Amino acid sequence: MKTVLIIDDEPAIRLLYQSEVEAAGFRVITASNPTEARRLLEHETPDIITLDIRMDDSTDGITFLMELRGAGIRTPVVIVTAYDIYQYDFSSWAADEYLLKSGDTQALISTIQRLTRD
Amino acid sequence: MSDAGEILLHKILDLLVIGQDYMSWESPDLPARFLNVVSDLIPNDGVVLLAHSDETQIPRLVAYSGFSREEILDIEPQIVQNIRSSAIYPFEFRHQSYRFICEPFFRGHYLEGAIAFARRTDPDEEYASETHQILKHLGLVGTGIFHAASSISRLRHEVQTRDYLMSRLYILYEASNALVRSQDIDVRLHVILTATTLGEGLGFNRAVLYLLDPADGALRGRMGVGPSNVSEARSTWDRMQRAHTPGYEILREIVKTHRMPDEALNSQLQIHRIASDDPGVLMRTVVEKRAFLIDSRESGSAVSDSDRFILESDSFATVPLILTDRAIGLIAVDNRFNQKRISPEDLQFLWMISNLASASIDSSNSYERIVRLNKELMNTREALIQAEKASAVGELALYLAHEIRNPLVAAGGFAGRLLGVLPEGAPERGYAAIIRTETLRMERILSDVLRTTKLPHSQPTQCDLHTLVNEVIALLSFSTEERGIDVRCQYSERSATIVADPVLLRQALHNIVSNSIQAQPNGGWIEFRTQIQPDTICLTISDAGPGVDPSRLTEIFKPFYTTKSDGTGLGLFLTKRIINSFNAQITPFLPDTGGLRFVITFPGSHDREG
Repeated sequence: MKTVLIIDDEPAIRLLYQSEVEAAGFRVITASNPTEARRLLEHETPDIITLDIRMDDSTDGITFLMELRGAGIRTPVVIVTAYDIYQYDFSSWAADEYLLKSGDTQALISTIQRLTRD
Repeated sequence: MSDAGEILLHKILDLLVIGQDYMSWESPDLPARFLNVVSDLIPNDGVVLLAHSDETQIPRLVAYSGFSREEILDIEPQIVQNIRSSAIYPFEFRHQSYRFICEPFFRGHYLEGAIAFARRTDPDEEYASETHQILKHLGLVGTGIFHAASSISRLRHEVQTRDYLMSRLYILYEASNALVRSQDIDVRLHVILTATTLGEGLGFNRAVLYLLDPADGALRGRMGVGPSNVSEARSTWDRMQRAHTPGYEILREIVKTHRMPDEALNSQLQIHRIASDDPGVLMRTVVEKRAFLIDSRESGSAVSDSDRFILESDSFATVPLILTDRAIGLIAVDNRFNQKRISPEDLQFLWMISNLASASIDSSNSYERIVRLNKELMNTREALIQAEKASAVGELALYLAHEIRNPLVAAGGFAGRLLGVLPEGAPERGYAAIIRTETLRMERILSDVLRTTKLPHSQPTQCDLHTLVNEVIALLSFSTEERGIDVRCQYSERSATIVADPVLLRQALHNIVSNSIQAQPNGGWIEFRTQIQPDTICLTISDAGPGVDPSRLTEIFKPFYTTKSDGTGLGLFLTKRIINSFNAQITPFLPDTGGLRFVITFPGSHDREG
């Protein structure tokens, strides 16, 4: 079973995505910010990461993405954010997909499925 | 008293009456009347009367009787050479012997005039001793009357000159008054040229004004006032005489109605161009920066075909329009229709007119520049206010996007989950469906709102970086002055033409400068420096503020980064996005001397020569 790491500071969003993604047949681990995510990644190797951008943390999502890529981690990352403006920031281009948060999780699920297909 | 004495007394009284009339301005024909009274005092066949001439300083003929015009021209020099008291001398003319007896009118050593009686008789005949006495008395009376007459004549001339000067000065005064009432350059030039042609003004028949085209050094006709042919001249002057309109009324009417010259001369002039290498007087006036008084009936012809194109005159005067040592054009005048000679005094007045015109052109240009700049400034201010409003709306929308979208997504998402697990037909399933549909609709509305807060569509155009920076400085001048912040500009000498959307770039610069101002609440300085390199144009903005923590320098362009308690952290984020959209780069530095410095590098424009 593929593992999905969901990083989002909103508990309701984490819970929603977790239940939807699990329903789609994935194992889900969650972090409320990059600091927690770093700790998780010390012993977890997710197959895909969904990443919020603005979070209650000293590191924002795009900086964390840079950090991952800088560390040579090539795990697919889907940015899932309430803002569309970051897609013009070339730093966000390091992500594999850029999705706008929506109550309709169909796009998120199909993206996760596509990016984790062997 | 003897009969002769009585006659003489009557004659002298008559002469005194003439003198009185003359002094009361009622008798301009003094010499003729004088001659008439005295001609029968001494037996004669002809009388010649001379008077002092202010012009030549030697006596000139003023009246005569008994001789033809031809004879008197020969006789006059003979008498002038022999003016002595009771001088008697013979004179031969056309085989006829004459004998003259002459009496000068001396006031001290000053010769006021002379009278000479001629007799066609035997040269040896003696004059009676009584004749000499009569002559002596006549000499005394003549001296008094002629002295009074010449004084009156001089006074009359001076009064006429004064009236003439006053009239000219009054029209110049009225013209300058009219100029103050209008800033329109066409109205001003029309007033000036009309004052030049008004009878009470400078009284020239026609006046034309040319301006120098700085692009090719050619002279271009700008405005002409006056008739272009004799019939037009006649009808204009007839009309003016009938109307009896005072000159100052005509000038005021031009200002009031913005009327332009309607004569053919003006239309002809406006298509006239004189090349910079034309050898004529008009071009020389500008090149040599001096006035010309041309009378080609006298001097050799320095007049070119171009000069004749408009004036078609052999006699005319020109003066350059000079502005701080630089000739910007010229005024040319002529008296083609009344053929009046142009005097050196006329030329002096023309210089005054030319100075008035130069100052008017300069101040009109400055005024137009100020009006245009002010309008641009108002537009920029309006655009910036709109941009600030849009930016505030944008920041609010971004905030709402974050704060609303997340709960909305959660609510809609869980409604979807419920929809998946609630059994078909259960009423709760319908409720969940409604929640899901409505939250998805709200998400779409939120996206629509966000779309409007993106950067406006950029419309890059060639613009001058120095002008844009100056506009931003002007807009924020109140804040900089209020806080005692010294604004310094060190611009490159060459013009800095860049390709950018001026509205967006102003907004970006405004953000940077606003931050600098807020960082220096107790005064300091902001410096703008531009450098032009082969392929780039560099703008450096430095301040004397506290700068930022060096470890966070790279973060200042990130959204929501702010050191201000009331800041949104989007200003510099948007600034960077705007600058990048022009293919330009912005880099922050912390100079060793303190403060914060931004270096903005624009790609060079291909058209920046200057």
